[in-house]
Amino acid sequence: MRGVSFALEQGETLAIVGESGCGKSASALSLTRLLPPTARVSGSIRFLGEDVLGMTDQELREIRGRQIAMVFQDPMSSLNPVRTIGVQMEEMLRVHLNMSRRQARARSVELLASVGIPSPARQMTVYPHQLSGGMRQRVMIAMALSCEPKVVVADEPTTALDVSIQAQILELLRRITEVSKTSLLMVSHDLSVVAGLADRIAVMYAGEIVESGPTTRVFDHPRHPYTLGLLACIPRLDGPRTETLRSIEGGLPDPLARKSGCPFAPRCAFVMERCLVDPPALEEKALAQVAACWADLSEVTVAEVAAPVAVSPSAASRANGHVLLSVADLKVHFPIGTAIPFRPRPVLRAVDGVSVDVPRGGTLGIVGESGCGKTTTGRAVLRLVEPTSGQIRFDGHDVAHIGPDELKALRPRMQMVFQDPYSSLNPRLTVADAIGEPLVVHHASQRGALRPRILELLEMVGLPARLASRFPHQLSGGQRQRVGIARALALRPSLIVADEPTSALDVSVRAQILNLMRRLQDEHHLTYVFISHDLSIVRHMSTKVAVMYLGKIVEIADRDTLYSNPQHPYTQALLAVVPVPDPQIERGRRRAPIRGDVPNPANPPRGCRFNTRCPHAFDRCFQEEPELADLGRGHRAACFLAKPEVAKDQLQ
Amino acid sequence: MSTVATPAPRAAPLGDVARFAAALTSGDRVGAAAVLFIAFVVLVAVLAPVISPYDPVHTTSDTLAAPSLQHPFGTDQFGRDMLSRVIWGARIILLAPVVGISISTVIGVPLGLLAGYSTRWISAAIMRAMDVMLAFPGLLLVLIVVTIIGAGLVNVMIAIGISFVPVFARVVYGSTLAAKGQDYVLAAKAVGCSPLRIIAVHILPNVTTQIIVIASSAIGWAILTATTLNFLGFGVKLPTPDWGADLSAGKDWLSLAWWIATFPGLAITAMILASNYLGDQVASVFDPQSHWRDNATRVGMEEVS
Repeated sequence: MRGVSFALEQGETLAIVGESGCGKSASALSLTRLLPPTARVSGSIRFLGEDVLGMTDQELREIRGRQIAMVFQDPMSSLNPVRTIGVQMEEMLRVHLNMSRRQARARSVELLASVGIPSPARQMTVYPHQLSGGMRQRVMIAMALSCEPKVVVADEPTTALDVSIQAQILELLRRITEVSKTSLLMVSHDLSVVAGLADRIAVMYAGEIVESGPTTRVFDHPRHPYTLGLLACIPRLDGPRTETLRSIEGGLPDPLARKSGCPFAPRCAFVMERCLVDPPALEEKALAQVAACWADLSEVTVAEVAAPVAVSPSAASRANGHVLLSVADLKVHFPIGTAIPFRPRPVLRAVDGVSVDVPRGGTLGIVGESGCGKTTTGRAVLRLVEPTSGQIRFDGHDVAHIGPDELKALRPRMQMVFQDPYSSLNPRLTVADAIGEPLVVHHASQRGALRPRILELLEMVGLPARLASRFPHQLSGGQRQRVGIARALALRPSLIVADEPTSALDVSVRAQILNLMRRLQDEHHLTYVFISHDLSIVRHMSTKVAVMYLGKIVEIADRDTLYSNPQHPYTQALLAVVPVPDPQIERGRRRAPIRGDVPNPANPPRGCRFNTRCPHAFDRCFQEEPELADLGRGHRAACFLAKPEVAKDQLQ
Repeated sequence: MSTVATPAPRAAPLGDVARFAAALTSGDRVGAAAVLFIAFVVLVAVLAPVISPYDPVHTTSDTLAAPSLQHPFGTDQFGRDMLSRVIWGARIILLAPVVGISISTVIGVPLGLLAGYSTRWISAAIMRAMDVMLAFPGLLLVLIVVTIIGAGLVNVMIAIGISFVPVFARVVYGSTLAAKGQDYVLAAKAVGCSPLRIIAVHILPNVTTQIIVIASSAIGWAILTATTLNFLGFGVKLPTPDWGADLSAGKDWLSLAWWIATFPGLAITAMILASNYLGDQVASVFDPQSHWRDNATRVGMEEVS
């Protein structure tokens, strides 16, 4: 990180946005000098006029927690696991504010209540692991607020949380900054998340701030090509759907390599000769908006850049009526706890009766929050986990019941792309070995033909041939994911199950991978099962979408029907909480529509599984479970209140 | 700062012998000295026929001679040169533990892999058997085995090998379980790899680090055990030169000729100390913790640069 300057005023919210390794967390940590001792920090950091860098440790401790409080990404590792919430909260108050035990206790309960924790007095006696992720993050926020700090630094506070919980935490942060006039410094990789919260935004790239300004101005008229690219490459729920996403080509620069000129030049669409030699400085481009770029972007708009380049034949038009994969009443139960003789063993119903058809050439999107069973469904389809009951028919084969030899023979036709490109590649195998393995296992290539086929696959996924001899740790996240895709393609499958293939990737790389998957689908007539928690990405990729909640499909329809006319309250709520990169829309939202947490899947509620969180729940929902009822035109929803599609047509 | 956990850099490929040796002899000074000492002992053992001044088993009339220029370590009660015996003894002291540990690796590693990868019943059967063996103190287990199969150098090696099987099996079992949970194993399954291939290609290479660390830290104990057995007379028989056996024979002459027991004793002490440090040194080269430390510093530097 070098030459970073920013100012935070009383009661203001500043968001620092950037991709991994851009130095955004380091900027935040340096405020209270929490960086590791190997970091060399120069420049000045002034807090209320005092120089933080010149402070003694004693003075620093006084500021940390008391004046500047931190909220981290992972609340589990920031809370002490062996002490109760109450003890940890009281300790803060007693150390910093010299409160008595009684006072501290009363104040802690008050604080927990203020961050929306139900029955706060009771929660004081629980240990961190007994709380859900969202609740833990609330506790962290309550602790950060306990000493009424002037500044709260929140480092990716919602990244580890589900969308519905993320909306609740964002709303909480917004309320706090409004009520207590606390300044908030928020660090995030996601522009949409900060859109509704931040007054000003600073975009960082490769250790430098490349653009900063008032939120609305930065979103409406970005003046740096990187900001422009970031905004253009996010598939949006509120805009028209495009076939191809704009992507920022290339990858993040190596932070250890020194380069001359603008660090963004190799990926920039507006690059000029000057950019390669002369690093641009921040200059005022519009009122209060600065950007470090030689080009003049005042005439360029995000919508123009995001517009589709070329319209390829859409997958939907080719998706003929033939069903490639048909799943009927699939159940996957995992035994939990200890077996007691003569008693049924308790089971976790990870997938509890899923039925779905996937047409050849189409893409089925499965959306849901963590613990809804979407990953298990995907794995059961490929029989990577054993289904407990149900039928899986893949092109005429009964996948659920065939023997190991038949299964092995079927493997080449159905493949998987994994979420985490770091753990899905064996660290001891080179890229060529990893891609070549399926070919070797199935004797699909002659000895001499193996190498050319590997090179062909590398080219297919847009990787240079020289990477063939590299080991996974020498590749970037995006490159690794391309290797994962090449491995899945090696045997020319007809079905690919992609389990969150982009959620571990940086925003600018995400669009590249999505475009690649779309292109490959067109070129190789692939059928996808695309699993994701991100509704906007699913909309971009899918022809048909299933929404899952606690092991069941609650709503399923073709893409446009589902997004334009969601019938299940859970789908409606999910659509309402997806952050949109538009400050106007985000500010207009006031209440997070789903309260509470996802119930424990081992012990789902009686009746409708969504009844604990549903705003419309009535008596019947607590007694019987709604069937996945047909609403017409292939639209099905498991809700008593769902209205048939046909009726709507007649109205029109 | 990354939003995704930064992957720990992997240990250097094992074929990279030169870099490995450089890493072993750098860092901790005592550890480096230990590595150099062991290298010296290996050299002595290999060159024994060339460098030993006398035949170690040749008896002469010059009995119980004190250390002198002619016999730097003196001679024993049969007039054999002690320096030559210590030099030749290095062969036994290296041979027994290395062969023993190899035996435990060959048996223990597959058991651990099998237990880690297979179903609950097979795994439980193997691991409970290992627990039973671990319940015996190591030396007792070795003595039981030697009592059953009889004395002799080969049997000492086998006994040492068997006594270390459960240690290897346990460590490999744990690492296998961890590796099995990784997505790349699932990916291999999705591709259609057989269980045997998954174990050989995807799991074994990812647990070799732990195997090497365990083997190198077990060497010290194995040397001690081998010497103890030879001292007690279960292993090599005199007049074969061996430090443990010579120590045992020399203890009866301690008041008359201190050098007979002292020089083999010193050699044993130095060897065990050195091999314990070797274990620590190898462990620290491979230890993820030390990589984590390097990585943390590197990330820290990235962020200010």
